[in-house]
Amino acid sequence: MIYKLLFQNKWKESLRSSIWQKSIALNIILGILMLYFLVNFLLLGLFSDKIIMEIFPDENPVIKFNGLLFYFMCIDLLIRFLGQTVPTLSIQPYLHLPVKRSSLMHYLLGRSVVNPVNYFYFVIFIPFAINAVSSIYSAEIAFLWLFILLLVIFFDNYLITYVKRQMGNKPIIVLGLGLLIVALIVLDTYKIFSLQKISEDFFTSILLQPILIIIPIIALICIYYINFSFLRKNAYLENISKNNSRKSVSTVGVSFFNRFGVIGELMNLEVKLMLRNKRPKSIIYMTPLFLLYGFFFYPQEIYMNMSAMLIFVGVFISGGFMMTYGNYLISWESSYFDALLTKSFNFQKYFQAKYTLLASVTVISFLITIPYLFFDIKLLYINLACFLFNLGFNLYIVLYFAMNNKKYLDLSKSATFNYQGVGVSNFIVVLPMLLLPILIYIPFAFMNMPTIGLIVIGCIGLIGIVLYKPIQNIIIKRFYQKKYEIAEGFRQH
Amino acid sequence: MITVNNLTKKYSSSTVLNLDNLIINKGESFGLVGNNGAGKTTFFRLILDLIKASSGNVTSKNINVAGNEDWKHYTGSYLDEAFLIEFLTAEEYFDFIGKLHNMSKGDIAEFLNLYADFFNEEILGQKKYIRDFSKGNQKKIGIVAAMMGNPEIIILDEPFTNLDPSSQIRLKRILKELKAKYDLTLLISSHDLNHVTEVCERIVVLEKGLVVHDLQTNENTLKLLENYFAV
Repeated sequence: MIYKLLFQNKWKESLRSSIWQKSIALNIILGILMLYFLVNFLLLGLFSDKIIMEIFPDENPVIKFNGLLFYFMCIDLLIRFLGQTVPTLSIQPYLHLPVKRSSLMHYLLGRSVVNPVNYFYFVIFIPFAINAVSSIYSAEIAFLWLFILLLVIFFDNYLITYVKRQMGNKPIIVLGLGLLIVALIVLDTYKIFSLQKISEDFFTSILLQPILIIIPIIALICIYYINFSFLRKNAYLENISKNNSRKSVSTVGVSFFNRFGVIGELMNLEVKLMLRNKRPKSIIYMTPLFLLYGFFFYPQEIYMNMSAMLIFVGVFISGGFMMTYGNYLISWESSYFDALLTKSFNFQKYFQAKYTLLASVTVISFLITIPYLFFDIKLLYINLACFLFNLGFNLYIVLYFAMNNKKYLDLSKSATFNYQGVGVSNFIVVLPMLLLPILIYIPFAFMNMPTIGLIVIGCIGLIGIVLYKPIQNIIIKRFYQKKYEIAEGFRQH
Repeated sequence: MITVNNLTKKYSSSTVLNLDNLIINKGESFGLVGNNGAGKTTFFRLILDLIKASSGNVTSKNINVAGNEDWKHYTGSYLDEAFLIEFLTAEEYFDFIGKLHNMSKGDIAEFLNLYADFFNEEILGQKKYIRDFSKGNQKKIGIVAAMMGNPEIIILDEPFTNLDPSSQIRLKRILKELKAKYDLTLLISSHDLNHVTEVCERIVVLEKGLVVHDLQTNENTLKLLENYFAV
């Protein structure tokens, strides 16, 4: 009875959540993206048995697949650590009502059963179960196999809930887990310690002796119970709110900026904003990935011959941060925008601070990625041209169009899969930044003058850098026209 | 000091504020009262150039506040939490605002020292971010920050709400002292008729965006206001 009421409330909460209050166009774009991933996973599921047989023609694909399952578990844990939220707060309104505490805890934990995210992987698993498991073993075994995977996924789910409740969102855990996975893969390739073998044996033996299913079942019950007893002991208001307020607070500013007067103060503020709020922080964590983006492309012969693709990568490497963070450049400050408007500084300085900050990250990103030239010296030229283009063109686009965001941005929510405050313009504005350099380049490539193409891209950037003052004035003029509208939008939340 | 000329603010078709002419003189303490939706905050936002007037304008020292930023140097304000930077500690916030007013570290420390009583040891040295303070303490931070940089005008929206009784009394004393000392122009709005009549020499009653009373405070004012708001 009580569960029914609680789930009804949850259902209403989801339906009325701000996620849906986006424009239709944005929902469509997100829908297409979701569909795209779904189709990708489905295809992977449909062909995974063939892919495995292609690589290991003489082996049982099911056993090979089983060998990957512990790795799957680890990667799933990593993804969950980044994306899964632990919403203890949502039971706060019920704590004082005549509801048994343990019921609330069961409800809180039971909610993940109805969370569709937990079933996403089955888009891969079900086709494989039908194609491979049932044809090699039997239909019953295929069901058993899927059931094991269900247990595994929920084990991961409850394990990460517990870990996150215990330790909070420490990036060191992600790093540790990432390194552990890399280490296991290395150990596996050199056959020192094979997690793959353990995984193969473990899952395959359950398939052969179904009674062993008791092991994952017991593991799941244990982790559920550990979660439950921890929650029951700790679900008091003071513990719940502890999640938001950290006990000790770092008050170290970046004293380096203090020399630059008001601009320095504003940059200092921005750095604190990035480091102390969940949502901008998750973008910071992603920035190293932008730098590593090259490794996906450069080692592969096909891409190395596609210069247009390399330009795309080049723009992204030095401009990734600028595009993701800069997209919301003004919205980040939506919670105190009125304060900025009434305080005694000039908005020229405000934009100068923003420019300096984004430009610094772009320069640093470029410098760090210079070693890519060891793949091929031409990468240095391409990335240099793209870097100049980022600095002298894209950066202004970012500053100019950041003013189109008039939605309040909640800084306390994490950025993964968070579309609160996001509009269609955020997607559209990225397109010219990525596509324009390619469009400039392509005609030259066709005329067999790729170097000239790169020089043109670089020169556009240089001209933009030289014209800093007049362009900044245009941006500021637009800001003064739009500031009321922006402030009005930010107040509505 | 502040002059209002035929100021109106409309949202779609409804007019939320409509003021003909209103002059607030230097050194005046100006109280704004009215029920919810009377247009108090809208008026303050227009004075601070936070929203665009539908017609008319507000001038501060004879310069239109819209399209000009000189007034920012001598106007301190605190309307709501949007004036606080929630992820800073109280010290960092004061430091930030102080630096914008070209105050040195020493100036800031000296300034904050004046408000030690008002802070009641609950604001400084707390090692927590502003978002984790109680509403009352957040308000104290905002109000004191509004007083930084020797402003000539201070604008506060419902400064007494959420403050504990002792802090309300201290705040009244602070406002009166500042006014006496620096000939400060003070604009406050309040739902508490007692406080506002005690602090302000002039009280304007707004109703649905219109001025219905413009009174110089005397011993009868409180009674008059109570009668006006009686249902």
